[in-house]
Amino acid sequence: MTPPPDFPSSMVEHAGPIVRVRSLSSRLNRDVYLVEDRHGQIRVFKLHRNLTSKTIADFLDVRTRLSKGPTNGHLKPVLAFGGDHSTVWEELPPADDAENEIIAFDEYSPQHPQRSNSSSKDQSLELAVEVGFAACSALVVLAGMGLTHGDVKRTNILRINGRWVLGDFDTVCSNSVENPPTASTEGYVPPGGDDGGGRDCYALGKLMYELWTGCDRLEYPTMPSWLMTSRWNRADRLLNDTICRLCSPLATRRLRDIEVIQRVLNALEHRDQLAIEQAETLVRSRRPQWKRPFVILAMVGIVLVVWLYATTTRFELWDGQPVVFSSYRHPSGINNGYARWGSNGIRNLWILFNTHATLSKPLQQNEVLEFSLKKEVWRGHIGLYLSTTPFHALHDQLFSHRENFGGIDHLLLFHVDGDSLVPPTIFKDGKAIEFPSSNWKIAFTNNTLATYTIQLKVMPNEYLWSVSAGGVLLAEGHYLRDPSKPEYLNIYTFDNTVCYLSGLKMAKQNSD
Amino acid sequence: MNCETTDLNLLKSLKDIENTDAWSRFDQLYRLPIVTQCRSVGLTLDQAEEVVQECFIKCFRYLPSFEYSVAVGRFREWLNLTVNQLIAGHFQASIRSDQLKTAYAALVRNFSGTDGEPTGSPSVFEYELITMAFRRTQAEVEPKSWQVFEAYVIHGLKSNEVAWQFGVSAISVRVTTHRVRKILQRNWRLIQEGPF
Repeated sequence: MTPPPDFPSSMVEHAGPIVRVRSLSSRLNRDVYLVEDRHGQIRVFKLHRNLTSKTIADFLDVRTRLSKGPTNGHLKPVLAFGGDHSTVWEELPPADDAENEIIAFDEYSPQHPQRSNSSSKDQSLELAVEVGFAACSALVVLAGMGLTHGDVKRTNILRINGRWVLGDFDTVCSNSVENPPTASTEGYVPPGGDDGGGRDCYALGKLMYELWTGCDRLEYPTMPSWLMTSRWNRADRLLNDTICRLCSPLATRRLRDIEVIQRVLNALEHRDQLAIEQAETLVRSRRPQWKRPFVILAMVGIVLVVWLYATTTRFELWDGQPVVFSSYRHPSGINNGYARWGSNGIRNLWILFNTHATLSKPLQQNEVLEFSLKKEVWRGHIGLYLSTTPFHALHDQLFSHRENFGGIDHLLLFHVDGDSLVPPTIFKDGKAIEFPSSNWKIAFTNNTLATYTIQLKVMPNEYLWSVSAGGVLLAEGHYLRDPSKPEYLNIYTFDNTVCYLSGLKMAKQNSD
Repeated sequence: MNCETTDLNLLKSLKDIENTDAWSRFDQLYRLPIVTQCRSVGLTLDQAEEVVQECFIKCFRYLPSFEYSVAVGRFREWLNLTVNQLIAGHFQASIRSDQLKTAYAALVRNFSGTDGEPTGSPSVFEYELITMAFRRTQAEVEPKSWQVFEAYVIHGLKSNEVAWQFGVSAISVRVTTHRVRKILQRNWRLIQEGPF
């Protein structure tokens, strides 16, 4: 008879006369013994030595809760427990899956899940899911009792009576504990830490990864060649997605709802297509779900804006000065505007049709501009206007009569309607304001479609302009200028008429 | 460690191997960055401690003969290389197959800008460096993004095959791969420039 080690008296009393003892493991004041009692029964006892009164109280509390709480067959049962002085003990069932068979005392070793190198892809998945589901179910029971495990790993999963069960309750504690004890097994602890439940879920992911891939947990998320090069099915994909969500390096992206995980693993275990479909929705990250349509909408929006902008707005040079053309677009393409650089047979010029052109730079004090405009046919309008907002910058470009260029306030200083040079007009807040008749002097009336030459001077406090044709002055005008508000010069061609624009000269005059 | 300049006085004091104060200060200054570098590429705490010990032994042998006045910059360079070589030793077993070696070599050539040049195979240390960069990148990107990259670049699957495996689009495979490759290249460079 092997002399028993220094066992607590309450344990000896519980076990009865001991025939043989074999040490199974011994680490950090924790010893596991295989014991044969006088009836020839093989029993397992675990001893915890040198404990403080606080840890003894915690041990007894957890074991009491475990032994009284509900079970679903996936938690390793605690058959008995007790303690004397600084040592506590617990009796656990042997874990060698020898259901109704005689356990060989000298050959006993607890059975843990292990992927064999010869396992096929489907066998590996089956093992990972079976063990994962068992561990997850055990965690659900613990969570129901307000407990977390703290050390989910392959060597703490054991085979008892034909089922995988989660054992080793040394780190089990209440989930309300601020700093839960943990075995801190490298690779099973989430980066950046997590609460007890979060740690268990992360470790569960690593456990399934090891069993599925055969890789070490520290190699995660690497996939072995044999798995990567074999064609995956829906279950493979779901298992991988589940592991990825459980083991995300970002805590906010990590799946931590143990009941959701159990539903997913249950679907995988039973290979029920409908349940797998539902599980995919549960596992799929929420972000892509709302992100995908959002991204598509955003991209369509960007493309539309770019297309509209590109087709209605063009940046060009007019005799060296940057100019932006904004052309009218009809949904069916009828009377679409354009701006073309071409020739009228004499010189190169811009040909505008249903288009607004804007000099990109605002007018500067003491600037003098001179250029020519010619309206091709009687129909329609051409004009020049000053505005603080350039037409091309409008979100809602409205091609319309002078009353409303998209609603911008403006001074229409030159306007040819039909073949008549008409007096200037002012529009503010969509309403016409009377242009002072004393500010506009007609020198000569000539109702022909002439080439008009416009000269515009930007004075410190007013604009001065003249309109002439063939060297004959037709009219002169002037109007107040607010130097604090930079204004842009726009050219307006509307109602299906063509305007030729040429010979832009810009100079600075001496302010004296 | 933000080690902008090497402490000349400390290096001078370390020439005396009996100067326990100087060696204790050296330990204080250099231990943590070495451990951090080890952990950033996925070594365990025990492995990191092993690297620190081996590195300090090398310093103990090297520093007394070190001519600090002529090549201060060289000490940091030497130390970075020493630390990285010691860490790299833990990754020797990672490169198992010829297929992996080919993929790793292509990455090394791409990152070092020697694509298409008639260069020989990378050295063992270069293979180990890229493995270290792998580990660092794995901790940074979403696991699935890493797996997509690995399937496409390392295992050589076609983009539509990877797309099938992971239930994503082929375009997404290319975009993800590009993103991960960028991060990997950055980490590969950072490792060589660290820990000091």
